[in-house]
Amino acid sequence: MKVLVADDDKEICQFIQVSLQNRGYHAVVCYDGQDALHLVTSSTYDVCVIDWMLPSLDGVSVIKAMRERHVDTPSIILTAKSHLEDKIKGLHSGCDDYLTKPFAIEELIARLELLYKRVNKQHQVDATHIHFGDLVLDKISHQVRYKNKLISLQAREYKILLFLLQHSSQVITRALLLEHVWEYQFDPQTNIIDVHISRLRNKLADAGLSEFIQTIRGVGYSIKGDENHAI
Amino acid sequence: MKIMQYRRYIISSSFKMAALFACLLGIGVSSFLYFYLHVREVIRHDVIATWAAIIAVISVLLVICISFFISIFVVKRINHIASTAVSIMNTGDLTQRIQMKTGWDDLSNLALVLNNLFQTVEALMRDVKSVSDNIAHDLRTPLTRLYNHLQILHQEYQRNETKAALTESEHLLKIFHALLRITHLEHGKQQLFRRHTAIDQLIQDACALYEPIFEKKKIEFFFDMQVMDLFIDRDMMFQVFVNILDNAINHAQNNQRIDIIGKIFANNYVVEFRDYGMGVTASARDKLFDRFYQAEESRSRGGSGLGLALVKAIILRHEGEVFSEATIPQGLTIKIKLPI
Repeated sequence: MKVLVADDDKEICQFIQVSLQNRGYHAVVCYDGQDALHLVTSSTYDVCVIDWMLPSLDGVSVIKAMRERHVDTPSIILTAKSHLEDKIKGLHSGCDDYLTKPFAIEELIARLELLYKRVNKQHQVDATHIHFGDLVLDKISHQVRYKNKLISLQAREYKILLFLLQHSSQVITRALLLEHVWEYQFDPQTNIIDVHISRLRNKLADAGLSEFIQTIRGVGYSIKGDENHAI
Repeated sequence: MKIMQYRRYIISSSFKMAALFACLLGIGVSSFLYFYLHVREVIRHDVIATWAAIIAVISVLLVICISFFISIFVVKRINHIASTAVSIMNTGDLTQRIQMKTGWDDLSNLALVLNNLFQTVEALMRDVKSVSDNIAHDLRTPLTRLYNHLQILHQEYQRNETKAALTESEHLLKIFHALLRITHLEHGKQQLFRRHTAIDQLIQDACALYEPIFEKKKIEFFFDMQVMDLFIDRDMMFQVFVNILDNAINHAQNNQRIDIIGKIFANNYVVEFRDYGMGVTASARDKLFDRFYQAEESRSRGGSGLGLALVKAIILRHEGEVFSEATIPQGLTIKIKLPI
C-alpha cells in the first residue's frame, strides 16, 4: 500500500510515516496543499491522508481538484474541527472518510486498510455466501452455520460477524464497528462493543469455534486465520 | 474597569417636588385661615377675602393634582425598575436594561447606575462562562501533542507504563472534547443536521446497543413507544439516549427494571426513562444536568460527569426540555420533551 500523507505538522507526518513503515507500507510525505495536489496527480497512490488545514490549498480543495482531474484515489481527511457542518462539507468534496484530530494511529491505519481493500475488491462478484473455513455465512437468509450446524445469532451479532469476515485480514477498531454496524456517529460511554463481542464469541465457542475473534489490545478485533482460509 | 461619575443631587428632585407641594399647601391653608378669620368681621364684598377663598380652593385642588402626578411619576418608574429586575431574574437574560425617557430626576439616575451594574454583571458572567471553555480550548492543542508523543513512545517501547499514560491522556482528551461540544451546542455554534427520524426506532437501536448489559445485569426492560417521526439530528439524539441508558444502567442494581415510555402529549413527544434504583435526593436532582456534577457513589466509577450535561445541551438545542423527577415508589425518572 502506497500512501500520500499531507499535513503541515511535520511531527505528525513523520509519526504517520514511521508507523506505516513499521507495518510494511510505503508513505510519501508533504506539508503543503499545492505539493499534495501535484504529487497525487503526477504519480499513483493507493490512499491519501490529507489534513484539512493545509497552507496554500486546504485539504477539501485538494480533494475537489483531484476529483476534477479524475484522480479517484480514496482519501481520508484529517480535521481538528469536529463540527458536523464541517463533516458534511468534507464528505461532499469527494473524500471517502474523515478522522478528527487527535486520532489513534491504529484507527487511521485501520481506516486506510479498509479503504484500500474496498477499492481493490470492487471488481469482485458480490457472493451470496461467505465461506471462512468451515464457517458459512448466508447473506440472504442471514444464517450462520459452522460445520453445517446452525448458530443462532441476533441481528447485530450477525452484522458484527459479517463485517469482521468481510475484512478478515485486517484489524477492525471499535469505532469502525460502531459506524458500520450501528450506523450512528456517537461517543460510546463504556466499552459496550466489548460486551457484544464477548457474547458473539461465546455463541461461536458453543458451536465449537473457539478463539475465532481475537482482541488486539488497545486497538480492536481481528479474525483468526488468514485469507487463504477463505474460499 | 471604567469608573463612571454620577451626578449627585444636593437637593433631590423628589425634595423639589415635595417643597413645591408644601408651598402650595401653605398658601392654600393660610388663605383659608385668612378667609375664615375675617369672614365674620368683614362683609362679603371684601375683595381680599373673596380672592383668598378662591386661591385657597385652587391651591388645594392643585395640591391634590400635583401629588397625584408625583405619585404616578415615582411609582411608575419604581415599578419599571422592579419589573426589569424581575424579568432579568426570571429569564436569566442579562442583556436587558431599564428603559429611561428622562434624565433630570434622581430615579433615572438610579436607573442609569443600575444599568451600569447590569452591564458589569453581564460582562463578569460572560467571563466566568468562557473561562472553562477557554481552558478546554487552549489546553487541547498541547494535550493533543502530548497524546501524539505518547503514541510514538508507546510504539517504540510497548510498556505497560506507556500504555497507561496513553489511556490517561486519551481520557483527558475525551473530557475536553465533551466540554467543547457542550459549549458549542450552548452557543449555537454547532449546526444540527436535522432529518425526519423515527424516534421509537432510534431509542430501540440505543436499547439494542445496551441489550447485552441488560442481560448481564438481569435488568428487565419494559418498552412502550408510540410510533412517531421527529425532525431531529439523528446522531446527536442517539448520543442522548446512549448517555441516559448508560446513566440508568450504572445506577441500577441487578434484577431491576427500567421502563422506557414514549407518548404524544399535546404538541410534544415525551420520553420517560424510569429506573427503580436508589433514586436521587431532590437537591441532587437539580444538579444532575450540571457540568461535572457526580453523585458521591458514582465518583468512584470514574465517569466524566458530562454525560447528562451533554444530554441537556443537545435537547435544548432541539428546542426541547429535559428534567428529572422521582419514580414512584423509588428511583429516578428522566423526562424528555421534544416538540413535534
